[in-house]
Amino acid sequence: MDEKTLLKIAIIISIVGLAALFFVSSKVETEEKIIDNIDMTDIEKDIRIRGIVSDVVDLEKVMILEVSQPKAITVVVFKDGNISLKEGDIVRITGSVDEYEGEPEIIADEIIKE
Amino acid sequence: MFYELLIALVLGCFVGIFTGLIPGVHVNLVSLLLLSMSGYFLGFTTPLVLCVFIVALSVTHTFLDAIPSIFLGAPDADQVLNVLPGHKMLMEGRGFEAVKLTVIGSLISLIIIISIIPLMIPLVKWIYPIISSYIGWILMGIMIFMILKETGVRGKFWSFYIFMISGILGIIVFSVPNFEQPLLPLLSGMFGISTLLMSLNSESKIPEQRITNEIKIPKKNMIKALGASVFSGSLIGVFPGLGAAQAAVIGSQLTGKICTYSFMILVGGINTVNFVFSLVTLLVLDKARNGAIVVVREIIGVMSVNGLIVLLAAALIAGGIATFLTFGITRIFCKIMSKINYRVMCICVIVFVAIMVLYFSNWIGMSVLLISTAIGIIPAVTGVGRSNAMGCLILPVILYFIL
Repeated sequence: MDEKTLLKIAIIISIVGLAALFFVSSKVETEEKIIDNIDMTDIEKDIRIRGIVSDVVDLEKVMILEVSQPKAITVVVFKDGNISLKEGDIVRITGSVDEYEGEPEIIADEIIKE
Repeated sequence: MFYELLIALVLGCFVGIFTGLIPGVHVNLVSLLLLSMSGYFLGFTTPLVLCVFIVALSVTHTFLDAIPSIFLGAPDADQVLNVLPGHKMLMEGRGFEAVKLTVIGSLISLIIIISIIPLMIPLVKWIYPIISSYIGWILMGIMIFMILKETGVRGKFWSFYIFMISGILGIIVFSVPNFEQPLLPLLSGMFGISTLLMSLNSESKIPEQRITNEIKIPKKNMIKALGASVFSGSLIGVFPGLGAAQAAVIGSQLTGKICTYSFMILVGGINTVNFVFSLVTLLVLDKARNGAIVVVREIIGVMSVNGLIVLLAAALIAGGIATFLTFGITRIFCKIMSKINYRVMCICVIVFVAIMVLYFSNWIGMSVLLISTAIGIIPAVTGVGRSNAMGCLILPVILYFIL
């Protein structure tokens, strides 16, 4: 294996890495928010919150959570497989802010139980 | 965010040059310093940016740390087993080739491990609970095999003796309370200073180093070495207590008898695979397997899949940059090495390592350095494998799992 081949491989993987970094970095650009600070200006923004589940409504295809910090916000989870959450669970939720009846709520992309 | 990540990546590669080249300055040390200052940095950047810095630093380090190991005979914990073959190649004027082989190992293994990570994630989830109960016995089996493969009763005796004496030293060293950086004196003495002292004794002179553009390695040997480095590097990324040096022992047992070239590829690759795979272990098992990953975990909290992809992309870019850096810096080393008085250089490196040990590990470290150097000389004098001295890490790990 000669040096030129190695350097070519190095250039190619750097470009692949840069492309991956560019596309994925926009998806992880989620700042952790305090619920108190979430308002209508955050609509369509990706955010992350951490809080305690204070209410759970489990429907067939969707789960609606109240997450408190202590101020509460509604989190909508579209079920993709089994989700087991109960009141008192500490969760870290990543998702986008949406509007429902004039109030912000979060459409969850990822829920991690801590 | 993208530009912040890029800046962190470039800074990480830059700092990685220093940690890679200066014996005793390890990635863990810089990562811990960063952790202590993370409160300040998080005021104007995100945890992920700091983690990208650590990943770029660590990957660059795994490429560059072959240089001091081969040219100065002063390895860090991950490079101990390539000191002897690397130094031998240096003395034949093939120091550039030796480094190049470790770069082949690092670069190709990096690509392989990142390509197979989607398969490894479910595999780790499944295999960890099964193997974790037997790892101590597996390691014991490997060590018994290593001792028995030495030729003659005398060889087997010395092999066993070196394994046990270094193992006992390891147990003592790891049980000393408040002993900072225990691996620095332990491994520097056993694999670094002992090699340099033997070189001083033999009145050796570094010949002019030739820059070889192409290295011919049989494809079969290269595949074997890369396969073993990916396997053993991943294995130690999953289990606690194991490091790159133990992986080199496991990997070289897997490949059977391989040439020096393949061995250098194996050692170079393990190092990089081990670090990258630790990120997977963090995602899947939420466990940190080395100092830098401990800091990543502290800073980032819970690792997400997107977070892992960003860190793997950073590892790829850092690997590409580190390849250029390693070749460039090795060329400089090749030019200056033959002009340097080898005896003076050996003495300077020994004094430098002693000062680092004194600074980081105090007088206890100096005592360990003396004892481990004495143990490190035994394999050279008796003619048995120096890897037996890895007992200093392997015996404590075996006892940790079995007892």
